[in-house]
Amino acid sequence: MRLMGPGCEEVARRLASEDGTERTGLGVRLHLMMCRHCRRYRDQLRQIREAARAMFTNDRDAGVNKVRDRILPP
Amino acid sequence: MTDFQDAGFLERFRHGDADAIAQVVDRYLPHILNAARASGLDAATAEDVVQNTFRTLIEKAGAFEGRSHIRTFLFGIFYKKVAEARRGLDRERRWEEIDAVFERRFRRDGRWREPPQILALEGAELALAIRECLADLPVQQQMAFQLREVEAVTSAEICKILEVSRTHLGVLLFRARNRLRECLESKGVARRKV
Repeated sequence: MRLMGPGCEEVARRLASEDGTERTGLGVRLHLMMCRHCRRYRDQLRQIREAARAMFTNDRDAGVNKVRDRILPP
Repeated sequence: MTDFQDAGFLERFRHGDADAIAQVVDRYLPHILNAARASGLDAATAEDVVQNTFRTLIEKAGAFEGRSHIRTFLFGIFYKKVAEARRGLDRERRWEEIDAVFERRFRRDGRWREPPQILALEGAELALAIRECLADLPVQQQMAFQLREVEAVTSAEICKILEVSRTHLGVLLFRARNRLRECLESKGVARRKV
């Protein structure tokens, strides 16, 4: 979709480069309201982050004691 | 919860106090172990890397000046250990140029040529695919993703751990996220065809 402000490639580039230090710009937010492909791209990045976070949180304690004993022998 | 930036705690840590060291191990071992298991190393090597990381932390405790957080110091050691362990494995690998893959998805006017497809993976299947795709990333991109997206570490701290500028961190995250997205999309499409 062609809109004023950043195009799809620029929007996707900015979304994928976000490091959490800046709020998503107005141009990007307006573009997202109008463009379903870019919304899907953004939602996929979120979905990947949330699934990765959940997976690692669930697995966090698995096998910890065994490795702890190697670092700090009982 | 222990304040790892407390002057008294840091003093005990620097002097090798067993209780202080145990507190650091207990707080961060699950996170480091998780990151090691996602790093593309086999299980035994991943555990060796974790053990060596904490051994180095304990050896260097006396020299820790406390200018950064213990977590930054620890992840910095861990990153170097993983990179070292992966060096032999990565020597023969060739990664597709993700920047070109990304650019091919767009037309010259910046609109989508190949829009993202709906990911056909969910739940446990998605988690497994993420683990496989993450293990395939170049180590610096993998670490940037892990620290930012899983551990929610600030970008300033990640830049210190990986010894990169903020601009470079943006590039690492861009490549890591796009590699993962492309990998998951291809797995999703492949499963739908089965």
